[in-house]
Amino acid sequence: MLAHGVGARADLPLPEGLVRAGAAIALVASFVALAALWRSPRLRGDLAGRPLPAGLARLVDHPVTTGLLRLVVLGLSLVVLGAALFGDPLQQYNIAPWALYITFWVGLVPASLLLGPVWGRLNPLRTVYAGVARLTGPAPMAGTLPRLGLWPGALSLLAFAWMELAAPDRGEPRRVGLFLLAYAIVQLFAAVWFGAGWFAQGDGFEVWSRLLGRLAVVGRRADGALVWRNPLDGMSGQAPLRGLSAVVVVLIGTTAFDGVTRTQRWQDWRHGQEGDALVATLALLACVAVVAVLFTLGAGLAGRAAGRGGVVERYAASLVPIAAGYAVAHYFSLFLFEGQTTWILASDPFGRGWDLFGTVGTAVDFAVVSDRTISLVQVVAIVGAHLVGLVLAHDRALEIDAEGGGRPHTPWAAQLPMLLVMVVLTWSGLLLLLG
Amino acid sequence: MPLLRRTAIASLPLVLVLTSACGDSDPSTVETPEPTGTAAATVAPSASAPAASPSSTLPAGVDQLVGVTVADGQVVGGARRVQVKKGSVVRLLVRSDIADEVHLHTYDKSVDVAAGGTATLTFTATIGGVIEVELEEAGLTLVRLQIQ
Repeated sequence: MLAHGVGARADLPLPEGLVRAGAAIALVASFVALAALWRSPRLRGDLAGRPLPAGLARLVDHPVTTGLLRLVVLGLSLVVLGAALFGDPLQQYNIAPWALYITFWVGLVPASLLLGPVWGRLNPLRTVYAGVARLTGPAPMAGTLPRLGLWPGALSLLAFAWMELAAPDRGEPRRVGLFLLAYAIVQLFAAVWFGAGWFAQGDGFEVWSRLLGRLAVVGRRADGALVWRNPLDGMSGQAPLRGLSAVVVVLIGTTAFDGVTRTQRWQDWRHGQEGDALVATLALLACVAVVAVLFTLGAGLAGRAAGRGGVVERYAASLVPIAAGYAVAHYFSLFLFEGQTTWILASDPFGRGWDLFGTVGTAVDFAVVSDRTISLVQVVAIVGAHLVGLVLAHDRALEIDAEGGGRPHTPWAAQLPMLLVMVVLTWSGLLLLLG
Repeated sequence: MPLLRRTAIASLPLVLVLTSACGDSDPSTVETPEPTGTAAATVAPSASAPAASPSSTLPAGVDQLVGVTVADGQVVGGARRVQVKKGSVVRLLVRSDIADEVHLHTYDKSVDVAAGGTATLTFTATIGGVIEVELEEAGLTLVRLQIQ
């Protein structure tokens, strides 16, 4: 069984020529960018953007729109939860694992990259909490939320990644159901203590969607207006919250682990013991730890070169594109192929012999995208993400330099460590895809 | 044991894995199971016929044979990755000392194997990627087909 909860097809190893070209572009672009890009900070964060047409903005922001969407998503979530707990016990006939691991988790990436922080808007836990809060009243610990930052989000993402990639029987519907139930209960309890603000910081799915959403061409300006904006401005507007780096490190590290488990070397080593959850868990944590050490080292050196502290979290946002690139490269084909299974099984979610959409018995169409296109998308995602991250880190270094308070005029020296971290991450990402 | 293994290949009237004339020949995919009547009946290349000219030994309409032997709950020699040319007709031969179901993932084809028996599964490799063949109940990966 593959590490990923469902699906048993892995992408072909990338052609070596493509990998070499991608690695070279990433390296060369890094140093060219350092010399050729702008010399004083340009990105304007949440101040940037041109307003959407008023009618469109009103429609998007209308409470009825939000209410309807939330109701639909809550309904779908309950169907998936119900199917997981009471539907067909076999993974191949139950919609829940496919809906959770592919349609939702992988689909969250393109949805957020295109439309912005959609899960913040749709999160069914928020909908349930809105009802619960009427009974429980004001949250007693809301004041301590800023101090937690995004750390709880990082932990919940790690918990999900463990479930998805390392837990025993992770593809079994009942396990999926229990996980979803446990996740929802923990999140709701936390929200009762910390208030509705919890979800933006403690629900990993919402945290991930919000980070990705900053790379969308549509966003919300500081004055609350919905605007079209440069994704670079959007990403640079991400507040350097505590634990932001932890979130990014968890996302990159866990996706890297998925890549590791698809290599021949790992499969040879683990042969016959693929189901060993303990080893998988340790390896998952090891991958996260490696990325954590790499990032902390890079950001620490960057701060040192700039002659000031407190810069670690300010560089973390520049790794969000890399996390997104990893996700696209690893799960693009899974989403297009095995993602069809969700739709096929949607006709009969509870195993009652229904055929609501006439898709029962349909087979997955593996011709929707060619092997060559998949390889190309993988390389472009990883290298493209590198370029975006590079520009973000460049601007951030200039911004930190312009603030003064450190060693003056050292943005180039300050950039070098993060640049090397990115090159290492990008090259590793490509190497893992060599299979 | 390498010497013994090589001798076995030369003397046994059974080579479970043969690659077609057009496919890449991967020496690591050669199995050396003990001879059995059932398997020998399916594939019976003579030991003297070198693997270099296997086309004559392939059953009609089959481009590539991929063989796996399961003994004591493990794949003999470990689960390997076998190169398969996209579009070719592949025949899987799985010999197992336990009864189970052989499942070719993604293509979603299955065949039962009896304890001590050999299961045969023939298919056309139309879907690219690295595809797992699994002993379903045991959850044991038998072989990965790299189809391209």
